[in-house]
Amino acid sequence: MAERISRRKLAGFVVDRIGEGNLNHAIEELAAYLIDTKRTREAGLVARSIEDELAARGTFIVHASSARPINEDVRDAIQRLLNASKVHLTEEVDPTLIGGIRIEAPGKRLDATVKRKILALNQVKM
Amino acid sequence: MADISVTELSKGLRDQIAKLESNTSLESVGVVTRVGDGVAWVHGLGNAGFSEVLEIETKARGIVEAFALNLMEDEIGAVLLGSDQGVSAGDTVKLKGEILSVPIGPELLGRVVNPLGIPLDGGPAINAKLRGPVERDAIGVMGRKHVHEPLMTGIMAIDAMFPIGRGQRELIIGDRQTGKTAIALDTMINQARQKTGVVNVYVAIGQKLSKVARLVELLRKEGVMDQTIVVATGPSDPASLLYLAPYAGTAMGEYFRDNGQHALMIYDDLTKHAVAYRQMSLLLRRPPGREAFPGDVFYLHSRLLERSSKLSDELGAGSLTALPIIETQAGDISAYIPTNVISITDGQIFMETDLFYQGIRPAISAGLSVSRVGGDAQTKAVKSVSGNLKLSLSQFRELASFAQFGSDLDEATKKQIDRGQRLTELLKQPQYQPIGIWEQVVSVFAVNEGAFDGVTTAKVKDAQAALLTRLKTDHKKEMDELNKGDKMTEKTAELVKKTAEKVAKGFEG
Repeated sequence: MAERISRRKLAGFVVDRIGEGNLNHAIEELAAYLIDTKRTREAGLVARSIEDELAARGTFIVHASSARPINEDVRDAIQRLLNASKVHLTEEVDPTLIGGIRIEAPGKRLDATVKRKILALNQVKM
Repeated sequence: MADISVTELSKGLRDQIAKLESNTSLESVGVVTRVGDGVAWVHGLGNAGFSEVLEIETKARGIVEAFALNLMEDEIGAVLLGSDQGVSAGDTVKLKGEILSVPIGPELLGRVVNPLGIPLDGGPAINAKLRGPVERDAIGVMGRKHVHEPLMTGIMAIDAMFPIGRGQRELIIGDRQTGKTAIALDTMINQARQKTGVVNVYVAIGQKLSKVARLVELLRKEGVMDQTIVVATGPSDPASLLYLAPYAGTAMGEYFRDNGQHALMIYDDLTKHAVAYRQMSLLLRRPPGREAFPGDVFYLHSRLLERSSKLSDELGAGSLTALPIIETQAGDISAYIPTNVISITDGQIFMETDLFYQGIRPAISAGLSVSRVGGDAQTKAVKSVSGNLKLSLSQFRELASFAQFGSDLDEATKKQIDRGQRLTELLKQPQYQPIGIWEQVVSVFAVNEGAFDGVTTAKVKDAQAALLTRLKTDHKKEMDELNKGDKMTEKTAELVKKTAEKVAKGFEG
């Protein structure tokens, strides 16, 4: 029986291929491998592992939520905060956050919203 | 209603806001990929440590805690501290940054808590100033001292034949319904009656809650609860809590040991603990070994029991004594878990079903029981009278089987059987009636000296009771002196012998 390859190793392989400029080919190979080894249910987790591996190599896929649209200064601050060489940022404006910003990166999170602080204060027993 | 100070209120509010401000930083998070049977599998959190607490943010139940046990390449297997209801795939998980800890300190005395330190007795929340880690390394070689102080159980058969010292680990092993818990209970009661100052920590692992309730009620009635902590888990609790119970109880006991006091741990029982750990291990997909137990089941108990110790004088000379309980099936002490725990502990008290049903209670087997380190800890008074008690009782039980056939026996054998029968009768002791040093010493002394040779076997206990009453009323001063534990003086020995002979006359048949 062939040895089961961990998701982390698969992700490393895919990221290597992406680095070589073979994104589509890498995805095709990965899909074929998952079908062949009957691991298609792990597709979502493999995608997460790829995000983790990219982050480990300095490329972050980040989702930022804020009460108001963020400006270029904030985008630079996010890159510095994550110590990233490249950031793929998706932005969302959510007025219910009241103020501040929430950043979700692979394996990391920063919640500096006013909403969270109010909720946390609400939970604290005085 | 209590007065509310606006100044204090605003100060508290400002402190909390400041704390929340400082908490805002980039934190490591993972995600629950699947959950079931009390185990959650988490993707991410590659920096999690073994036994580290994880916080799962659920929509239905808020924060649910778990602790990481399986650190694998792709995921973490975490055991939930409570029910898995409300935890679902996709929930965010973050590190708490600490290993599991429980409240410790004198605030726990008299309380019944679960392994997380949450009260189960309906009392107020426990406001302990300190917390202790559930998993902790045992004290090293240089921090220890040999076991030399007695921990009197008040049970004559144990204190005379298998003495237990403070810091010792003595296993109580036997089939179901043979009086294992009763021995532990009597030992706890004796600590209160003899005012030894020893703190009891009773850990119920998967015990029926009705049994725990009965036990707590009894301890309260006997006035023992003031110096006792009960850590209770029932059969319906998650395996994670059963697994944690003895470690949490030990953390609570260690507080007293480390502060120069003496504590007694009772783990009731480690068989159920091993079964709970087996359940967790199988759910975590660890490879099963013998009897489906995981490979580290020995380490499970050795690291727990190694924490019981007698500390050196430099560390305050406190002690933590352990009485683990193991339930056997059909008296088989060569099964996996019993042999493991026998090899870890400093001796065992083996309870025999046959003896129990013959009415010999406590049903302690003289041949299979042993105390490996307690000899040094035995009080001089008891030691001086019980020198060959174990040997003669073992020999008697061998010979007794011959005697049943009614064959002709020589005088020496007849005498040995006769003495053995009296000794067996003497060592019978009702439950919840532990006795003090002087009572043990004079009882064994009277039989050894042959003062009760004329007493019929059936009346030995009556003769013993009469002797104790007589000595207590007529010679209280001498008996109080004897109770200090020093060897009996010749004068006292003569006094006891004469009194015993006088008392025995009333019971000759």
